[in-house]
Amino acid sequence: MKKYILLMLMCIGIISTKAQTLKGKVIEAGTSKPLQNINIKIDKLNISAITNEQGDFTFALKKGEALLEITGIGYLSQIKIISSPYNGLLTIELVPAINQLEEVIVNTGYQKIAKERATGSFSHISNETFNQQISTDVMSRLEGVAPALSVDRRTLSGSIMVRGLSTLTGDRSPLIILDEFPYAGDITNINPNDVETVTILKDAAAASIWGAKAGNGVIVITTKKGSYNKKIQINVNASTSIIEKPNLNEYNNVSAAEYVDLEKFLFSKGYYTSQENSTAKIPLSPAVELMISARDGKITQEQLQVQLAFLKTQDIKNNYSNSFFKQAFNNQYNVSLKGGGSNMSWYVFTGYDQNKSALGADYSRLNLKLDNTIKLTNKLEIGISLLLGKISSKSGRTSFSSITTNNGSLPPYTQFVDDLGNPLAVMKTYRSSFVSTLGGGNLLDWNYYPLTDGINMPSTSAKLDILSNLRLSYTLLKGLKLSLNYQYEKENTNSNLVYGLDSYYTRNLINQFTQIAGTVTRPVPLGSIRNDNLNVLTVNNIRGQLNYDHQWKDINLSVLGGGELREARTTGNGSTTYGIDENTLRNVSVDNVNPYKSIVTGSNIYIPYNNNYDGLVNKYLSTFINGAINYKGKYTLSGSARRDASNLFGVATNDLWNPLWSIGASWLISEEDFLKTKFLPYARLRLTYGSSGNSDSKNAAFTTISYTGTNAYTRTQYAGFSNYTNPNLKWETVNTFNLGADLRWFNNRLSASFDYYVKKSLDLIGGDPIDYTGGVGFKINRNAAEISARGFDMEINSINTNGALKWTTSLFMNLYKDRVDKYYLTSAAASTFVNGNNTINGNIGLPVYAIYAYKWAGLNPQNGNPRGYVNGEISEDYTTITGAKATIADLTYFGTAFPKLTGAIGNSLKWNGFNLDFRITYKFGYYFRREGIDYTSLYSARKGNEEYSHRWQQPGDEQNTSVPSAIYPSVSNRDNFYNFSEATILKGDHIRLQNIGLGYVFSKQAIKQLSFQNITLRIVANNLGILWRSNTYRLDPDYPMAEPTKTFSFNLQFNL
Amino acid sequence: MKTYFKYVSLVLFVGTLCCFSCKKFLDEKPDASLAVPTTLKDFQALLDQNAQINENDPSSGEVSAGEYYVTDADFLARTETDQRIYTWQNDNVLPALENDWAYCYRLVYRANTILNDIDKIEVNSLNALTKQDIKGQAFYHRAKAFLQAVVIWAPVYHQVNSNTDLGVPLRLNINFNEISVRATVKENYNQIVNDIKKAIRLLPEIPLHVVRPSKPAAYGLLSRTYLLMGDFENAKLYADSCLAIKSNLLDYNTLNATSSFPITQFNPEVIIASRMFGLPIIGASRAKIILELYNSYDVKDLRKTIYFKDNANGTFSFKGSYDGSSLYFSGIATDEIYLNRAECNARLGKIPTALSDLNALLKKRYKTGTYIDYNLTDQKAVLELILKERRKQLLMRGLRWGDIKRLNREGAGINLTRIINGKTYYLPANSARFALPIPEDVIALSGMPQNKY
Repeated sequence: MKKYILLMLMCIGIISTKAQTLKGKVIEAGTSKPLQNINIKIDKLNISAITNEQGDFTFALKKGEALLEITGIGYLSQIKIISSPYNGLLTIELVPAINQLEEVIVNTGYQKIAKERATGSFSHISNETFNQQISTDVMSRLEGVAPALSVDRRTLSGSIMVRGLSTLTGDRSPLIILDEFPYAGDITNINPNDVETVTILKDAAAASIWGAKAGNGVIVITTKKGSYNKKIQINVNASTSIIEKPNLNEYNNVSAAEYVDLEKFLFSKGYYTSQENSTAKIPLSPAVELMISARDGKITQEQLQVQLAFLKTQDIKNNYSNSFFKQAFNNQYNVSLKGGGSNMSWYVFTGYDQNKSALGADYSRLNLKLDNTIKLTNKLEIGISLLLGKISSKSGRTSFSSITTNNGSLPPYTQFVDDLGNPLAVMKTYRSSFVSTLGGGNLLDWNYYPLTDGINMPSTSAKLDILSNLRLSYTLLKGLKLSLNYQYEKENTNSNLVYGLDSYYTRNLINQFTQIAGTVTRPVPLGSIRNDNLNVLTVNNIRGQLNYDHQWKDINLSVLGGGELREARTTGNGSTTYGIDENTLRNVSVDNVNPYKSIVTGSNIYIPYNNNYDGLVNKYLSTFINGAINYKGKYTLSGSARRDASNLFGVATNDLWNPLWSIGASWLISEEDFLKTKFLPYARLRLTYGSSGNSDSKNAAFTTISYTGTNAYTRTQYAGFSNYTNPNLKWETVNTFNLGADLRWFNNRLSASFDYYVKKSLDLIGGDPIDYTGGVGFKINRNAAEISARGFDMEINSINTNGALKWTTSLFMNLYKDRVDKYYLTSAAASTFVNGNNTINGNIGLPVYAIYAYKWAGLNPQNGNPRGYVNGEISEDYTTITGAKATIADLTYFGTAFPKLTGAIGNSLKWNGFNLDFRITYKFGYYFRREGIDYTSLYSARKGNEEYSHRWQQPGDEQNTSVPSAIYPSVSNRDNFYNFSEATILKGDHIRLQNIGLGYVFSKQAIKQLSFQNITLRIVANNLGILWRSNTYRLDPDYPMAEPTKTFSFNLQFNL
Repeated sequence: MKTYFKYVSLVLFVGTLCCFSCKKFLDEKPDASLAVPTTLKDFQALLDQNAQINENDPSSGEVSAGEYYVTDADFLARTETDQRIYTWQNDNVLPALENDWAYCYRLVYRANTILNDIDKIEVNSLNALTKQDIKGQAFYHRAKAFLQAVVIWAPVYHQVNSNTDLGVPLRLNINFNEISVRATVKENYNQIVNDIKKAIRLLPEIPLHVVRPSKPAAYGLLSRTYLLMGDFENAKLYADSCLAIKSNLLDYNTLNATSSFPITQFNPEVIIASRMFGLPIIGASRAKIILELYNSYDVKDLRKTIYFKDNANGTFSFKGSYDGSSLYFSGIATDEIYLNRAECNARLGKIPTALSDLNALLKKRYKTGTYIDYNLTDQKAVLELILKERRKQLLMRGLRWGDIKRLNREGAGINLTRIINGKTYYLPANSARFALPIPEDVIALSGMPQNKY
């Protein structure tokens, strides 16, 4: 800090005293909009000035004539000759260059700067690009339009990443800033139509101002605001999206016919006998129940054959799809107004979304926003904004994945409705033949009806999100501005789940507890069971900041520094109420203390007690400084430093103040005389280095315990370990080096930027296998790992044709490669490296997610057994192949599970009011593991794979298939070996058509009688699917959990 | 220029001031339910997590002992590790990671966490008893875990050989980075005895609930330990001490034999309640009690109907768990202590005293009025009788494996056989295989020597 002050003071000393002051203002021709970041250069003197937000600039000018060269992106350059001293205000009007690129202003959350004056690496998503897709939320529009941003969907929720991985076990999601502060609420609360632009801060110079939270990159969402001296603008926007039915491709199983035959076989082997006799009365599939009835003489063999033949004709996916899915749609309406006088600017937005999913779930969101900026005096400006989001949702019919039994999947022939459309019971927790005989008619129907169950257990949620912001800025002295910014956010989420008396959950619980001893008593009373949850998030942010900007002859200095406090508090409570009468809302209290005999097993059970209170507080205290100095508009040096402290456990002692910093430089080489060439009219080089952090509250340095419940017997609270003492635990650090170049040709019609980066993540907390004799489980977290990522981002924008047909293309490409530099790897056991796609591999020199497989020697021609290798010899000894003695050296390494090359190509064509845009995305250079047949889970949990029909059945089949033969009893290591062998590895490469949009603009210029400025009609199709893929299994490597559904949207927009 | 400096320094000054006063701001803990375990309440809470403390006792011993069998079909439907442990294979008998070894040492770590820090708490008149109680509980649980482990993975205690025989690692601190080393069997038993003796001094006579250790529970555990060591004098002594505090016997005539689990959880005999986390192969739906054992019960013996469910196909399942469920009780109950004392007295030549304990117990196991007191004088016959009754009373309680080992040490010659698919598997008396193979992943990570066969 001291250094900066010194530097500042030195610079102030340089100011020359003899010159005359020239004051001027640059505005846009026609609209009189003040123009910021316009460069005014005096040719002979080689001095220049830049306009501020109000379009104002000042010069120190000697007497005499001067030639001013005025240039700005998006405007035609102008030359003006004036004589100094100049009386009054010099007003310069610039004519927009319609076909040129617009100037890009990037927002870091702390300041807004012209991209071409920043040393850092930013990606900027313009409003037009952002709006090419139509969606309810903000984040889903970013993939494919933002270079360096990718989504890893190997987990159900998926995670957004900026420039790949920076952490191993910690949270990977980038920091999301809404205007000035991190947004703590649910990001889906934000209406995308209120978003102006999105900026992605990629390197250290861009992101390290955010300190210990910026390690994963930062996404800054800038919402719309009014501006001074602007006519009132009204925008009305309405969209309807129609969404295709989900295809359920993620459910992959054997066919009904195959499964019935298999069950017949297993039945003949006595496989189901112990299940039949189990005291837990676990359910058996309909076919097995039929076979039992036939065996016991309750039905004839003929009846059995007829019924089994019928089951064979069924298909669970079709059955489900036909009875559960209805047309899904999303509706979106919004109106916005904005305008501004000379002292005030304002913006009003209101939006309403209404969605209905294929399962009939409702979602609605109402957004309101007011934003006002008032210039009280020349020095004092006050801004107030208020954002309101009200979100309600209600669940719909039972989702496919939630229809489960207590011992595996549903059989592939499951039916959900009968011929008349009445709901049918499916297997669930107990054998129906058992529960139907229990209780002598005193129990409620114990069957599970998926068709109606979802409706009978509605869960609703109501959320209210308030975000208010007060901004105060005061110009202390010329160039020195103090700003104070306070933001308050409160998000209330009230959710409840009502298990109606007709829901399976309630009936099951009531029945289990029913006591029949002469009289019938029900410890769980008749009536609905209701879970209520209230969660309140309160965030207070306060920031004080000093900005200093000054322009000397050749030097432009801009420094900001300040401090901020942030406190995010979450409180929650939940409760369960039993025996609710839905009409009177009276409830009955239950006995959670004493045990009851389960009517099924006779063992002691307790009525679930779920009342809980939670409290979470995260506090941050930070100071920061950031500055840039520019010489002659050509050379820029920048630096930033930040210290963070937080109350996160453990971190308190070992890393209370964690300093993070960055430095950067840029050089406009095309302005150097010795490099001036026609071939490269604009070229700028950037170089930055710095570090940011990654903190994870889950990892603490002490043994921590968490209180999780009440011991039913002692009635005392009990606690379990949530973290084991590890005194050496530190925050993770991410160091990024970035070398970039920005180039432009042909009057800016073609622009390109290239960035090469090296990102080293140090002190990463990694799971480390540990001898469990230690008593703390099988893995322990240590600051043991280091990874590095190298990458190359390229972005090219071009205006291909510029006549009546305007055709623009934007192309980007990211090369990415990560590797493990250091990892505490104590186990070289092969089984740790083959497990699925989603395990971190600790092999130094190889990618973080590396795909390995057991070596595959094909199927045994005699019996269809899969074959691997033991000590180089072909072997079927699966226990050894997959056992503890097999090491990584026995495996084949394929490559990374993360794409090496990703990117997108977007095209936009405009002709006579028509516009067409489409975007193609691609991912190359990676591998994934498909699911294969697992006979153990097929037999025990009814979970197979459609490749069962391609299994080896007779000698010769091994020529055409790699699917092992079915054997009984199954050998789980044989299944493991096959599933983790080379036979199930596929290349992930694919090309996808992300979206197409076609629109027509009726503009006032074209249609004179139009009472609007313009009306736009658009049709947009999203998620159109894969154009090309490398695998032949028709798998979507990008969506292993559930494929995205095609969406068709119609959009109508009026601008007044 | 001066004005600049003034403003800048003012802001800096205010900023610094703010930071200092904000030290307190950062002191709040991030999660209200998180705590660094430092208080007695925290320690007790760790020991009250019943699912981790009392519901995870190892079952490998009972699985390997010969009191039950499974049908060929059920055997084939089981996982390979289950099949291997059932047939006494020499390796890969337990699933990786989540297994009995982990259960034992998880409990050890928890006890160590408390023993490591509890003495940092200052004692005052209000908390002295609570602190003693908690410390005693921790010693008890550590001893219990070590004892269960040594019975499963080490050879039987032997006066001489145990000085060199490899036992199980003794982890006595919370440093999980420490490399595991196998202590000798002697060291194991010394540690167990010392821990229990400490627990005895600290624990209350009557616990808040029988899920918590108490003085009688510690006496009982020590009696069990000495019996395994063949120290009958001490085993008798501590059985005495235990029964002096708690000697209730449950009259089986009051039970309803037709209910699915006639004996209730926490019945009056239970001194400390815990149960096994059984491997699936021993699950109640699969395990059939061997007929030899079932047939040894007299028709007047209530246990014949209370303990066994007739599957109506010539097979019998066990339903007499003191857990009141299909899960196997592995805690300590007075019936075991009566039998310990009876056996010790018989071995020490005190025949009438031995028989009086046996008669007192059996009287409550037979239909009222049908039991005739045994009145034998021959020491060998009495001992045989007591051992036979011990087996009949304490089946499926996790005790048989240790009993077979110690009885074979004294020459009982108990060989085990199992037949699957016509193939006979055989475990001869005193085989080294009576110490199970330590999980291979533990051996691989720690470099400890494996049991040799």
